[in-house]
Amino acid sequence: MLDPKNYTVAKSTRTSRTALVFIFVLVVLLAVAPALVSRSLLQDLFFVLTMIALAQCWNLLAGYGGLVSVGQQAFVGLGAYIGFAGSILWGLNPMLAILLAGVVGAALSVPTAFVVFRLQGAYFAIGTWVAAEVYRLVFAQWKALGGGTGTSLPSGVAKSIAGLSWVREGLDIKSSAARDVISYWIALALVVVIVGAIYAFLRTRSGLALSALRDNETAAESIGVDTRRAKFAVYIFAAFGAAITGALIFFQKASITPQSAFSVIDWTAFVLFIVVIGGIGTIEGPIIGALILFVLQNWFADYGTWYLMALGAIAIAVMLVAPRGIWGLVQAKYDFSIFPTRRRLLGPDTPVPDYTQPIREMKLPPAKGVHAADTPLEVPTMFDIETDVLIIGSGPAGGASAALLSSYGIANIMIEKYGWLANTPRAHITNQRAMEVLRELGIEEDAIAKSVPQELMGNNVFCTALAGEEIGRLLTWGNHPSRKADYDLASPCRICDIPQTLLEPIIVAKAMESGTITRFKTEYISHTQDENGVVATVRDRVANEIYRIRAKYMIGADGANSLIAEQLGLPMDGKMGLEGSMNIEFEADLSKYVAHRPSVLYWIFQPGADIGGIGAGVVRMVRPWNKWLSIYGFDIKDGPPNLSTDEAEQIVRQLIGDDEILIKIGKLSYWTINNMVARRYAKGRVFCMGDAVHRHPPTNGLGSNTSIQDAYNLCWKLKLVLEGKADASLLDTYNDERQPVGRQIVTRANKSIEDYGPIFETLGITQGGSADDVKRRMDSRKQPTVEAEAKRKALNKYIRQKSYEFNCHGVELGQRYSSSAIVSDHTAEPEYTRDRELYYHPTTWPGARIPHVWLDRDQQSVSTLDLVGRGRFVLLTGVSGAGWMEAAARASAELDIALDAIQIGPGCSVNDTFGDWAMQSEVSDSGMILARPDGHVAWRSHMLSANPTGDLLAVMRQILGRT
Amino acid sequence: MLLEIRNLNRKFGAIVVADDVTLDVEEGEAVGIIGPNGAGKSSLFNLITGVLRPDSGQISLQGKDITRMPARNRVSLGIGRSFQIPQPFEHMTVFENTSVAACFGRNARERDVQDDVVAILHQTGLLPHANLPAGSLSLLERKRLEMARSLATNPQLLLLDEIAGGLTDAECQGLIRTIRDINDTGTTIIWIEHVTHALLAVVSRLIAIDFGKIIAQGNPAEVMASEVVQNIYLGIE
Amino acid sequence: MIYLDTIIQGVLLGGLYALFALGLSLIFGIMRLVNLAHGDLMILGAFAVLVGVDALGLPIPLAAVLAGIFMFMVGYALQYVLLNRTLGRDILPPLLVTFGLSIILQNGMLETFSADTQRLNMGGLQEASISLFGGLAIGMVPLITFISAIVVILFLNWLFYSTETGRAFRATSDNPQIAQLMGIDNDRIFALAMALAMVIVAIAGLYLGARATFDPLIGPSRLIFAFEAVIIGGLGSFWGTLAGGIILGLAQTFGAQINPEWQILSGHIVFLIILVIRPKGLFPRVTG
Repeated sequence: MLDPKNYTVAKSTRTSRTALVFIFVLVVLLAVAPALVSRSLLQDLFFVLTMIALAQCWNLLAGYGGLVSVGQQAFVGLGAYIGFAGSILWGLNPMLAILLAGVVGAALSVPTAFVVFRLQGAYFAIGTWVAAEVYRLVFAQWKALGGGTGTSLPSGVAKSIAGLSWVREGLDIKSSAARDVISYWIALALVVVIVGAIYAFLRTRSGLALSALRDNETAAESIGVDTRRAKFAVYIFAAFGAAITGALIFFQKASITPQSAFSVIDWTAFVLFIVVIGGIGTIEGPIIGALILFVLQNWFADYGTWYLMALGAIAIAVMLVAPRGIWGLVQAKYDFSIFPTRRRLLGPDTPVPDYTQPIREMKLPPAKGVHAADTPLEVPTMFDIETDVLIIGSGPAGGASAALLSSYGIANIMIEKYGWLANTPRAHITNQRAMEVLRELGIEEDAIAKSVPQELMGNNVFCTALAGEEIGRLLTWGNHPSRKADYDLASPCRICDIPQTLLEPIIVAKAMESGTITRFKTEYISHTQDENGVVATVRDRVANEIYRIRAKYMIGADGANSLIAEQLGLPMDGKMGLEGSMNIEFEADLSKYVAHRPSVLYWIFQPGADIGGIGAGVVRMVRPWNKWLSIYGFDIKDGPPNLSTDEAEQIVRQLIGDDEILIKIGKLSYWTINNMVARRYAKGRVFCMGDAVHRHPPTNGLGSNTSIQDAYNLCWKLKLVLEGKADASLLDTYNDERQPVGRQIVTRANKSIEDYGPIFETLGITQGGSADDVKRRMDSRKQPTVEAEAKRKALNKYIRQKSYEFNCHGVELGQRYSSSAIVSDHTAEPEYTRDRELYYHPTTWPGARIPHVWLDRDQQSVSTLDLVGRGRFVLLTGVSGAGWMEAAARASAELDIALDAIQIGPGCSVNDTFGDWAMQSEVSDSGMILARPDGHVAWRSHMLSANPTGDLLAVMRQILGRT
Repeated sequence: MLLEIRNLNRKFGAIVVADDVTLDVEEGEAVGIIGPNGAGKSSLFNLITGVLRPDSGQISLQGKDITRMPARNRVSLGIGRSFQIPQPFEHMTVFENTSVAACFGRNARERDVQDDVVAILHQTGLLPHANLPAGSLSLLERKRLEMARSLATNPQLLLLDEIAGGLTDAECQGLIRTIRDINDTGTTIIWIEHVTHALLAVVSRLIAIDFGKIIAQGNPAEVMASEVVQNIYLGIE
Repeated sequence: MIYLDTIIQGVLLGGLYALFALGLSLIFGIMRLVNLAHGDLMILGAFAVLVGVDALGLPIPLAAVLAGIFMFMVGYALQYVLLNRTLGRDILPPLLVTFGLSIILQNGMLETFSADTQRLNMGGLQEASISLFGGLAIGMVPLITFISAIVVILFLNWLFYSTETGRAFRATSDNPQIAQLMGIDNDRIFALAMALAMVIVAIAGLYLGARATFDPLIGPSRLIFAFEAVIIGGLGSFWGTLAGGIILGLAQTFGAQINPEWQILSGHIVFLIILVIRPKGLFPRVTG
């Protein structure tokens, strides 16, 4: 969500501030220059300063205001004449006369502007010239000041300037020199004031308006800028500046003629030259131009006409070749300004481009994390396929996303790099929550048919070898009678074991049946995204063709080595590759070792089985009891051992503990233990899920279950946003809700590995030595000694500790979300009365999943979980909740969104025959529970509120991000 | 009633660009205008914004007669207009473009409008481009800037002049969404457009103009299907 | 009687000013370019004739023709090589370039011809005059000037509205881009237009030099007269320019009657008044 407080506007840069300090120092130096430099240099400086003053005014007029005048000499001359008139004819102090000159200049510029503004463009320029000629001709009639031949300043007047005697005495110089000093100081002050005023002005909104006017006058008018007034103001200021400067210049010259006062060459041609060569439209330009003119003047002025011709030629050349002048070249190369006026917006996602690029080709710097679209692929510029959601990866996360989106009627395409789905058993524990998702999709029965049921899963055996000694056993996966109740009460579904090779086809088949377009052997390469969607570049590996798919959103479910997560630059916590592990698939009939203690996992504690891996050797049942997978570790520092079939068989035999049994070794694969979770799951329109964002060992059996639930959390949100029923900000809640879960399970799974260490130690396996030593230490616990008793107790404790891996119901089922898609009902979160990891605490507190109870509908048992979900919001209320029913209908119509309402109770469509709902709903009969499409409670109300429709609408609006 | 136009007439010599136009627009409405080139659509906008003065007739905004009011004052009254051919301030950045419009359209200081400018840039999808000179923008981005600038003046009435032209379908979709959002927040919109499907996705009333005259008005689908409009667009006799 | 004489002098002066202005009007009409060196080019034209007469010993008409050819080439080259590059939306480049050009020309002519005032001698015609009633006399040179102005206008109108070249001129001035699409080479058209304008400028220079003295530095003031004539008359019509020139001439002669020092000033004042009252000029043709 946009927070304007994150944005600031900067006008200056560090370099510019530093430069200004230098300028300040320079001004100070210039101020004390009279004490340090020669008189002639001072006069030169005076010339430069007055030219700068004139040039800045002309620059403001033409460079910023777009008013190209070649008649500013009108005001220079006017100012000069008024200055003379003031001090000679009217007895004013020269300083006052100079000031008066400025005021009169400004005053007369008003009627002048009134006339010349009737012309545009180049005709305006000539018009100003005419005006200047008129001024000249008029002033040439002023007999009191010499008429056409002019006059000089009487020395008495010249001497009467304030401070003259102080300077004369202080610096021990002649009167005329002192006059020069004072003139110089006035000029310096004038330049500082003019430059300062112009700079300050440009930093105000009127300065912006002036730039706008210069760029496009009609557009400026259309946004409310009074262009006429702006031009007037600029003209008056320029006239004021020209007049004051003119008065000063001629005061210093001490003589005046109409020709010199109104000279086009001196007061327009040179000024033009200065501004154009220095850099028009910048404050720095005229300063540089004046210095250059000064240098040229000093060296070449003796050449008279040739000098002027050269100046003209240079001006032409500059105008054609480098129209922005010298400073323009500096800025183009270095983007350096002493007086910067550009406003830079700084904040999230507002990069500052490299301003030294030419404007037409200027580009933003490539955004970090988003893959820049500059890979040298020969790709057609149009995208080839369009869809709403593109899913990368056909694993549990991707497949479930596809199936869910299709069931919601959202167009989606799923691409998979390989030719088929999972070809190794991989994930297998399918917990109740995952089964609930499959149940909603209608494939629960199919999954059950292919699964190994709960009762055959639960004898977690800890032994020295399958055929060896059994050290201990734990009833797992809800098989212990006391846990079984917990599990049965928690869900309409039962936990079961189904290898990924069998589960994926069920999910993907459902997806494709419902409309998902799946493209196998299609490899994701890269993507770009903008405010309209995502374009992914993919390669069809069959035709070896590259094409592009455009979608509104993209799901990155491409596994533990996710390319998408990497390209997005999702920040990750933790590490990959903590330990090395290998899977060895094999076939062998092990019924005689296991049929009496059926389980999905057998844990082998032997020397060597504690190295790397997941903490112990594992023999995992894939199909009872002839298809197996053993998990063994290796030292990751040595790299994968690349075992031969015989070596693999060796290991398997060791784990089984039978040298003769028939073993057929299947696939070998090497993998690593990872402890990594993404701090952010999504970026823009791309959402990552599954192993791509939570990478952990298979302990706890949480991987595919969490992946499926990631999909379940995101897909309904995508549906609502794509249908335009929710604001895109709803999608942010996916990250807010699922990321903490990812973090939780990664931590939990890695912790579970650590819990094996104590078992090994207590058994004495890790202490090294020969096989006999080990056996001796292991057997030591069978002694009747106190020591041994302690050992037996410890072993018992550590084995029971493993319930945190195998009976971790609270982690399997108990997630409570907190985000903007959950609305608080202002009640406190119910306390955890038992261990929150081991035990599931059902509640209807907003954020928790709706508790399961069995209800009765048309004489059929139906779970609360069957009432909710399926892509719609559902409101559950009791017999007294008719007000909520109506509110739901109203809200549904008003927001145009699927919002069902169900009354539960006697006489209603659904009856709470067991009374369990009444016990678990935690609201009164007139209250309500609002369930999101993923079965989590979005909000609840303890009873009927005064304005149920209003309240419900407010809640829905907040969830949907629709204000 | 936000805008009331009564018997507006304007011609250039023999060319009549407004022929006894009478029109009412309510607050919050989204009205579309279609018509062949030269029919007087943009001229109508020019008359409403004050760039053009009518020969006769009256225009009122919220009951206030603005017929004689100069153009720039109408901006502060709340009429914003985006041009057919985008006219950005090329040497100023996107942010500066929008900021200057906000300052002068609302008569406020730069500091005070900063938050709103950021929000508008976000709404029109231009925030990442904030520091780019307007001269470097693509056509779509310029059109968005055109909209951002007119929005920045905080208009009650936003006049959009053929902004969907030249855009791809996808770009058009994005633009439609933005316009709908703007209308949803309460800004009245009058939209001249040739890309009719874009219009139909947003407006609740459609007006057809030809030779300066309103020839059809009403429910968009009905107007599109009406005989007069069909004649113009398809040349069916 | 004095008044009639003043009027006649003013009208005839107007003919000269019209000649000054026609070149300016032509160029602005076709390519929206205002040439600040226009006056200086006129002086250049006058010097060209002078060179023909003094250095080459040619009779004035021949010298004038050669000067015309010379200025034609100068105009073509100037536009093609330099000024075409300045055309565009920004008014600054052509303004500054022609301003620089003006300075170059003035100083170049100063170097070449010195600052002395010059005169073109039309021989017998110089002092000739036609006697009218009541003691009034019309100088031959002013009369020929005026007639030449009319001839030029007739020629220009014929060129513009009855020839293909003229059509190309009008097309390019209406819409340069479309004109290009139709195969019109804008660069060449503009160069041709400038060349044509320079010929007119040469003619104006000829009569300027014949009627009064000239020196390298008076170009800008003649530019101002040309400009004033164009504005008073209104953009878009050549006859309008003539009318503008005549009004300016009348203003000046009447002003001179009041006080010789005020001749030019009164021209300026009349110009400013008309500018304030009728900024589009007195006889504008409606154009873009």
